[in-house]
Amino acid sequence: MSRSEHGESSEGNESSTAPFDWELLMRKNTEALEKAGEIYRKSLEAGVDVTRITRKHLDKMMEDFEDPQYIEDAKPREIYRKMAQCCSEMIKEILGTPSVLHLYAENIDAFLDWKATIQDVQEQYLKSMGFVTQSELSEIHKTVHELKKEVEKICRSIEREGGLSHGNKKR
Amino acid sequence: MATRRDESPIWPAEDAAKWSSFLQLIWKPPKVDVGSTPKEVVWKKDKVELLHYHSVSKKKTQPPLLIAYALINKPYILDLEPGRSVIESFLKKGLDVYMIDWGSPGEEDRYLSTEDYVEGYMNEAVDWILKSKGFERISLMGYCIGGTLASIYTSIHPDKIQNLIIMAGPIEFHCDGSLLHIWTAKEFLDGGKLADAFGIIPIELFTWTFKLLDPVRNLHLKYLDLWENADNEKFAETFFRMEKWIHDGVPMTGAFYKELIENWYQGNQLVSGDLRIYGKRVDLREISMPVLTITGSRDHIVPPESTEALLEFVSSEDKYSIRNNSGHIGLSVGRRAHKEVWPKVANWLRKRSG
Repeated sequence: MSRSEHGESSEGNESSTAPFDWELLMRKNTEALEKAGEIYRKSLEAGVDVTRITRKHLDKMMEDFEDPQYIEDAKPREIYRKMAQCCSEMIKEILGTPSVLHLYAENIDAFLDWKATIQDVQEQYLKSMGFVTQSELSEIHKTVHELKKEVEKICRSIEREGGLSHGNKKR
Repeated sequence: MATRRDESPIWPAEDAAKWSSFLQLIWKPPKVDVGSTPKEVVWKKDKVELLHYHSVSKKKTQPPLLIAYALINKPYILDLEPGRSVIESFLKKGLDVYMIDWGSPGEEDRYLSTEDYVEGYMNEAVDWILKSKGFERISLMGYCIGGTLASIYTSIHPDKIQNLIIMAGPIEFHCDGSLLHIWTAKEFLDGGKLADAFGIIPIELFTWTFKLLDPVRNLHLKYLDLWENADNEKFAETFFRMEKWIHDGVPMTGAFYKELIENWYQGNQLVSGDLRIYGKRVDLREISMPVLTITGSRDHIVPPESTEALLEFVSSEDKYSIRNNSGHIGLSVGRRAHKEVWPKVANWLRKRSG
């Protein structure tokens, strides 16, 4: 069925009178795919970096273990701690790699967006029920905080000027 | 042919007893006391308390010393247990010690910012000590972020401070050597967005951030140390005191967190001279009294260079630096620090006290 046919066939039905916006759908679909592709590309980039770093540190560790005398002389716990030390350095380097951090930052960003959306929906629901919302409470806290600061500022200036000027003003 | 591995497995059979002790400790950790040095709350405003420690020495070194702790975790790390207590060490040397406990902020405190902590609480606590003790100046010591706050305070009120001690307090935020500086870069962290989303920054964010700075040590090797010392009662007690402190954090107000990330870590405003408190520029050159920095060469939270940078910016002629072979927390609880650092610090203070 062509686009015009689709529009004609649904005539009379108010909810579907508007022609189906294929362009919007395709645009959104392309955007979503591009976004997913970008995340996938970034994940791959981070994955490649993680593999490279892991390989580098394991190679370094193996250099020590290549010496049979070292393996023979070292206590098992010493070997274990050496391996742990190697892992530690490896993880620290991974956690400081830009490609990994960019990915992590995007995750945090998405989480914060999701949190804000959920809070918004919750607040709309609570508002419809006549409850006080978190944002309204925060606004009150902000006002109280600013007022307290203002009062303290005035008190300090009164203290500086001395009780006498305070008394004069009152009079 | 029997190999060495066969003779000496990684976990030999005699270690079974250690496993038993270790599992008992994990299953039922010993009850531990922290911050046991006698003290009283002498001043309180909102959730902030000023603690005064009871003197143990008849001869008091004056003026009093005020310690400003960080806004993360609780201040009893400076009084973890007898023998590993900075407070105890100072009291034994005759110092009159006060400490600010910032308390645990709630939702209603989300707008508390640097100027509230410095010009509000810290200034009022200092004024209270000066007034009640009849001194014109006190000695001020800041630990971690408390060190940064103490530097800001002293820059604004140099007339109230006789000696300034900064212990592992970040001053220069743009220096290499810490993952924290990478993680807080503008391209990876939007402090404002995070602060807006949470209001009060949850404790877990800090706990896990600090654990991930050295994940293998913090999530694995320290338990291996406990396993190896499972029969050592003293070791286990100290271990669980530390565990208590690590997991006994306090949240941070969103407004302060936003400033910490945007103005301090990203903007490096304390050093650049762009930091303003109530519109007044914070100028580190206003600090002209004796200054001491205490740092740990293995500190992966605040690199020593970050703290020691203060000495380049102040105009003091009497400035001294102690760098100990310890980490950020080891400075306050480590045996080496208690042997090498704190007696020196107490002597430094006594020499500069009237």
